[in-house]
Amino acid sequence: MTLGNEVKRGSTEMLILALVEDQPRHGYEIAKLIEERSDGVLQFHVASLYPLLYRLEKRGLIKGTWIEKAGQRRRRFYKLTANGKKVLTEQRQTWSDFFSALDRVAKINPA
Amino acid sequence: MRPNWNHIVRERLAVLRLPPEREIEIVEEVALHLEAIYDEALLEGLSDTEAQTRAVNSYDWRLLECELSRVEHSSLARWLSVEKQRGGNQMESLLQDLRFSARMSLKQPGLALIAVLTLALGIGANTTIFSAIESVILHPFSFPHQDRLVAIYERIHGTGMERSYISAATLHDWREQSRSFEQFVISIFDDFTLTGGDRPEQLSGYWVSAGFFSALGVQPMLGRTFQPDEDTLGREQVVVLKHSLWERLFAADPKILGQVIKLDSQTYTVIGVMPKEFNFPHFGGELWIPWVLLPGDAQNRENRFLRVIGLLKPGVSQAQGEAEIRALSLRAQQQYPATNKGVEAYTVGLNKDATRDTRVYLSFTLGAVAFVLLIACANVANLLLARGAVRQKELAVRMALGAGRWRVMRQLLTESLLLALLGGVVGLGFSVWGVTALANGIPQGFSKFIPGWERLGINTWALGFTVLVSLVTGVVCGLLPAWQATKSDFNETLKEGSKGAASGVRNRWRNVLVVAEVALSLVLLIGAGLVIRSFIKILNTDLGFNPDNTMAMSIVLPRGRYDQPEQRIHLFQELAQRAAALPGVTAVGLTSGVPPGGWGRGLFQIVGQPAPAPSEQPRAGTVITTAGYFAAVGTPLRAGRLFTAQDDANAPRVVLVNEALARRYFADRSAIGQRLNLDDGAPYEIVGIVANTINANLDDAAEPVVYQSLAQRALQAMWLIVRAQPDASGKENVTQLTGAIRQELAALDATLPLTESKTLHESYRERSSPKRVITVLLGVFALLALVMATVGLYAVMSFAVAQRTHEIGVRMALGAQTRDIFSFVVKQGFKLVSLGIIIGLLGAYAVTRLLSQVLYGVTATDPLTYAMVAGFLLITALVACVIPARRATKVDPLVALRCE
Repeated sequence: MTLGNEVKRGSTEMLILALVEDQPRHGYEIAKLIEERSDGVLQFHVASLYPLLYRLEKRGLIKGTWIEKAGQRRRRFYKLTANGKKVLTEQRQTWSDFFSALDRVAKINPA
Repeated sequence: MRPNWNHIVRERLAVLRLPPEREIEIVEEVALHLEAIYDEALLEGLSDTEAQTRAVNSYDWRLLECELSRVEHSSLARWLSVEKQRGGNQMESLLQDLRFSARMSLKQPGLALIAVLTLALGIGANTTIFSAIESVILHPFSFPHQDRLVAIYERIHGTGMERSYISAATLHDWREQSRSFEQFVISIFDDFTLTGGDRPEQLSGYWVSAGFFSALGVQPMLGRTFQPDEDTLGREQVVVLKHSLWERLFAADPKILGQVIKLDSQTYTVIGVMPKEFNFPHFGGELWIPWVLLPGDAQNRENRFLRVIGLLKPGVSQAQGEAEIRALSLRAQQQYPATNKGVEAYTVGLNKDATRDTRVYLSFTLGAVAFVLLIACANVANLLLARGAVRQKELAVRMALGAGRWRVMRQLLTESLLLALLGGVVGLGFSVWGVTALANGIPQGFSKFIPGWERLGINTWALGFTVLVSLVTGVVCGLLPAWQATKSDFNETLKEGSKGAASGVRNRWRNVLVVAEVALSLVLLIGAGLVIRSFIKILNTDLGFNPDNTMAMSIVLPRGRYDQPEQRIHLFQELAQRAAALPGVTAVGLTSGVPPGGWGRGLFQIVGQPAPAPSEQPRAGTVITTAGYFAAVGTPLRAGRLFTAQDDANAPRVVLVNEALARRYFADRSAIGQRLNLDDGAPYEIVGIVANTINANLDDAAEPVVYQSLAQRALQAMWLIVRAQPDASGKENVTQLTGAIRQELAALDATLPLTESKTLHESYRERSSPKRVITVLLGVFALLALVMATVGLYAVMSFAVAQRTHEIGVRMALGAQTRDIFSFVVKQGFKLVSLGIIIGLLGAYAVTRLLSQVLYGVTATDPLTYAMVAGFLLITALVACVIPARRATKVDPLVALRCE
């Protein structure tokens, strides 16, 4: 596996955790938000999204609940768990330390 | 129309085989996502089809499958799923193997047909004999608690009596003192005269305890059986009928219950009819009447006339029951020395008791058919080995392409199993015929005494046995060839022109199988040869009587009338005189037992000689006859005289003896004039010596026999023996006199029946039927084995010649003559056959000793039989080698050397 794939997988997990931190979201919403907010830079196979969501759910980082709203089909909304919050904080710190190191060495300044 | 996204997603994800609930959730989520993409595309202005395509193509379905599989299947679940998949694959591959096996068989129909037929013969023979064993030995009865039922006998030490019945007083003691038995019931076989119909009928039946049927645990088909108090005086006038009697004499009348019938001038009310298959005891009786223990009998310890069956309490073993009964009998020895000295009771399981006569015959018949099946297996294994040689390259290619050894072996075993199962199906068909032939081989007059014989047939036990034997046969036949075929180095095999080391090993195995076949068939042939010689000796033995154109008719005088000896003597003698006066009759006599045998057993002492030790007291057969009997049956007088009219009840008591008795006990002097004590009365003087006659088992023509005169010992039942002149063409016609004799009897007493009659030839055939059937069976099986072994040898020799064509070509090229080639091939066959014969002779020596008890006039190691059979097999086997040998001489050396 290339470094690029490892980085991508790790970042995708953090992206999902971050997106459900503020409010519960369903799978389609998460995919659209990642694409929109990254201006299309961050793309991943849609077919990987749901398996990743299930993997995160099995690890106890997010929790999915079926919610049926009036006039709509039921959807599964995912929200961050306490464990997920802890992991997200750790990952943010890790990425922050990483980019700081990159900046010191390669003069990369993250926005 | 909006697509059904759930359906589309489910189809794509079906391969994951997710648990149903989880599948619903995942399908719904992914379907919603697709629907959202589809709706977006529609909003962008795409057509329905384009929107659908965009949605479906937005997913990498293979990636989704992989990712979902990783997530949803944990390691265990993944393993289970793989195994389940594999299990599904295994079933598929098994079906594939079966299809392939069927195709292989169709490609070589000749080989398949020979294999199936060979196995069918072996399996069919086994199923036939197993059916007989199942109904006659394993399950002759079907009582619910059969394992708790035992027959109880007494052996009387010092008298040679091993199987005595029980006295009423002893039975009373056991009923009082036993803690191990729930019940003791008795049966007494007796004859009855049924009157009140068109003509009197003589019937056989049983006096039984009131608890007889409940002890056996059987229910009647109609009505009821006896109540507990119906074996007391005044309540015993009830009768239960056998199904066959109800059908025969009462036309299966459903209103039979409550009808009153007259037996021996007593009236009995019919209270029940037993089911068709119920036949117990198995002595030919057709009715059951409660037996009342009279006060006089209750104290009698000497008259041992009760056949006792004990029902053990639940949880008590036969050994425990026997220990208790034995202890009681030992105590009785001390308490009643005059009557119970040396008397020891023992038990026999009901099955074992009923099957003691048939067990021996059927056991070694089963051994014989097992041999036949082994030979059939060896034959088929040889065929499969040969086929394995032909398919060597095919199997090598499969293994080179990655097929595991076990996989290929499984394929080959499937082929042999398929052949065996087909052989089983065909064999089952053979066995239906075989069982019918077996059932018809024993006349009804004899078979009615064999418990379970009426049930003989193909039932679920036989079906199960056939399936099991077929499966085992398939494995036995196929294992060696499969092992051999997959053992070879496929690299060597694939080389052009290679024969490989495997062919040498395979030939060795084929030779081993042929040697085994020859040995097995020799053992079977010798066994059959001994039995056939024995049977021929029986047929050629001087019977001591002449059965030609002679008939025996049974007359049983009813109780309550003819109680005085003079009445009985008068009636029988009158009847004999009237019968003698009928046209065509040349001789008439009376006897208590129809030859062959037919005599009772008794002890005697020789007057004037010191009393021997109890264990050495002389024993002899005893028969009651008239003077005319000997002329009627054709037994000559050897010395002295026959009975005369003067030898009546008032005259000194006289007897005749046979030559065997005279020779054994009066070797140094004439037996005429010697005196014997047969009972507590006056001694009997020997006045004549008659020729020996063969016994009932047809295995001894020199048993000592004592003949008493009817005039001095009148019995209740006798047989009238009538010899007639054959007709002008010499044909037997004695049975035409039956009607006339019946009329003569009716003239003397219209209430007397004359039911059973048979010619002496029929009597002899009945007695000889078991030996005849076994002889025919063994002969057929031995012949079958010989044919199979010969065919097997022929196949091996043919194959060997074909394989050695090149070698033969070389020999011929180097100057070998035709006769040299011929003898070369025959010698190869001779080596195999000789080895098989040597092993077979050793095997026969060990095994045929088991036949000793059924042989007559021939020992189990009779050298003449061994030599004749071995020689016959050698010649037959060598003939089987001739055809391949001749084929070998026709090999063209040029052609043989050109081809490899």
